[in-house]
Amino acid sequence: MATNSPMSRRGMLLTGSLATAGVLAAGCSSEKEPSAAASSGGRAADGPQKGKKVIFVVHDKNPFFAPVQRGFEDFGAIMGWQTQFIGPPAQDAQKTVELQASALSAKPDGVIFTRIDETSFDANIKQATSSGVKVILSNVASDGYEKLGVGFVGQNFVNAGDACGREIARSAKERTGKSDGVIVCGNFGPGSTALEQRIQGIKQGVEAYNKENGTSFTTEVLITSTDESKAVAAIDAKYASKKDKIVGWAMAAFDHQYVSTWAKSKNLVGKFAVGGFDLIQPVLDGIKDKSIDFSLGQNPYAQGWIAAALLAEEFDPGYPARTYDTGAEVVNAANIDAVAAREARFA
Amino acid sequence: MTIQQQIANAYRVDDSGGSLVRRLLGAREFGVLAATVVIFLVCAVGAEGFLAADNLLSVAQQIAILGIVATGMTFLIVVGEIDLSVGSLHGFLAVELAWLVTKVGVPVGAAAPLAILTGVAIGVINGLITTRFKIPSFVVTLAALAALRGAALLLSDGVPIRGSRNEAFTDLFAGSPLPNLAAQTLWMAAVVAIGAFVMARTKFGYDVYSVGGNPSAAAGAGIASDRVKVMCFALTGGLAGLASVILVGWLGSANPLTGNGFELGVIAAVVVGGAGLAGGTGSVLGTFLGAVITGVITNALVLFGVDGNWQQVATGLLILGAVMLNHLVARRSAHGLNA
Repeated sequence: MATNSPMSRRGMLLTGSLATAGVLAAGCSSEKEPSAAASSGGRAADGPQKGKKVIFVVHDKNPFFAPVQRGFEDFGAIMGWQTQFIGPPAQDAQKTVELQASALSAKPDGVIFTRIDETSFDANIKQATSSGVKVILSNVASDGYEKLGVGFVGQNFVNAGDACGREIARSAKERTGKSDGVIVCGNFGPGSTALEQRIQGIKQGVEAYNKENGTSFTTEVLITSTDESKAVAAIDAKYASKKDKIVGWAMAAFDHQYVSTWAKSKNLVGKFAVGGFDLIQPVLDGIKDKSIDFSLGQNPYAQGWIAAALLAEEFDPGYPARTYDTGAEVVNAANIDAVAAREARFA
Repeated sequence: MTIQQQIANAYRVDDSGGSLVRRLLGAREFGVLAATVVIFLVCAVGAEGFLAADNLLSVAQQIAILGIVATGMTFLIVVGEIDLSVGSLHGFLAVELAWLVTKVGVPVGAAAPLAILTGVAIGVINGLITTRFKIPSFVVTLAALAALRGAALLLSDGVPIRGSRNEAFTDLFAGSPLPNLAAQTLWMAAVVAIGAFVMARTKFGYDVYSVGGNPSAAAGAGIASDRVKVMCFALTGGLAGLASVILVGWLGSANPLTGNGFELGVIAAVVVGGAGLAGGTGSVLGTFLGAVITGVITNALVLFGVDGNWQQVATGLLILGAVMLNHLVARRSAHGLNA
């Protein structure tokens, strides 16, 4: 038989090799993305407050904090500070407390902390303020931070959730034409004050939209994950259980990128509305390709830059700390190009 | 020769006299001690403020919870088992304690022992399933890891629960008996001292080494292996409970994500301390030094000004370096003794 002849086998091998080589050659073109603007990387430079040491301790070094770190380091470079940005690889209050303690042992002039619950971090904050170290909270402050006498730079999570709830209900009606159905509220970090408050706000916002527009959307919470495969599995299972009853997905953080991935793989884009928070690259890509309807930004760059600026004001001339709301910027198809160009700086 | 003496000889539990140098070189902790000294010296020379008393006491406070749970894990690893659920158990028991106090109204004086007893009970359950059904502890406790994390989230509704405001409770578990000296450091010192004594000087300790090192010989010597293993699981659970009580006293609240990934740090401390995952080797003192190494590295990297992402890389490499130095020194000292 022809297929068994050595010649034919060699021919097939040759054809296969050429085809493989062609594919590899096609894959040899560079896909290198343009470099983001360089940050100072914590190195001290000349500036009006040269020599000051400032340490930023976050509760979780996830991708959201990249622009926060950039804002902090950019401002530090202008001032001539020696900066350091640290945190545990995953959310961990105990580890964060320990890192804060080590940061204070380094005798800094100022620290910027996140405060993800109402008690765990207070001893370190009090120790810092009593020993003359200036403290600003950033990103999450949790209730009762005012009594510590420190300022906060970040989002009001319930209000931001409310805005998200109204936006997802509006988008769901627009996408599906329905005035009832389930809006799934995703939470990839149960236990996180920020995410729980946003969920609370989303429910509040959906209810408010229902009252104002005569709709009857309901909300259901889904625990997702920061791990993409686990998150997609949870989303898929939820959809399998509710199918067409689902009219929207409102995620409490950047896990709407996983809804986007899943919806594209299942050819379900456009069957429901998708929204959430934060402006990391996969989310911006999702808004561009219309698999995500909107995302609410909280200006993470300001959470680094403004927090550092408030600290600088405390150093000199000595203005007391204050609170700064970084808001809830709605990013959708209307403004995505401008926002994507802005955020590319931190990619 | 008694069975205890035979086991002591077999596992080099050296309680006899001899020259100080010979005893030091013969100690199973010599390798990790050498690694600790090297890391300590590097930090002392290079990290400004490292040797300050308040910084060293801060490091001791930071490793207290790790040291307590790792003491229990040492027994378990030496006996030839492992508990991957300690992180979730630690989180669940912290949430349980806060929930009992602030949601149910149980006085903290009763809730704290109850949390520790719950830890013991969960340890016993893990141990019984492992020994009775002959299921590897790796699998049993992996299942417990998921179940206990879920239970913590259920009990707390996913949000942190405020702990006790009772001052006596806070002072007992997280106060400062002396300036900068935290109560949790003293709790760790007590647990390590008692654990080291039990492991090196009691029949139970000999039984643990025997069952972990040579199960068939232990069975031949009439040691009830399953019972010893279940007791080690119970001890680990109880110490996770104590750690949770201390944590709630210290932080004033319980977060359902507490202890996420903590088991890896605990196992790392035990292994850095010279224990072998195959069982039969290791010591509480070695584990304590392993915990000191991980605490010192974390602290010193901040003092050195190392940025966050590099800290993860540096921590991994330094722990690996410490383990290699430990093994190298231990092998050389054993070779020197046998020559």
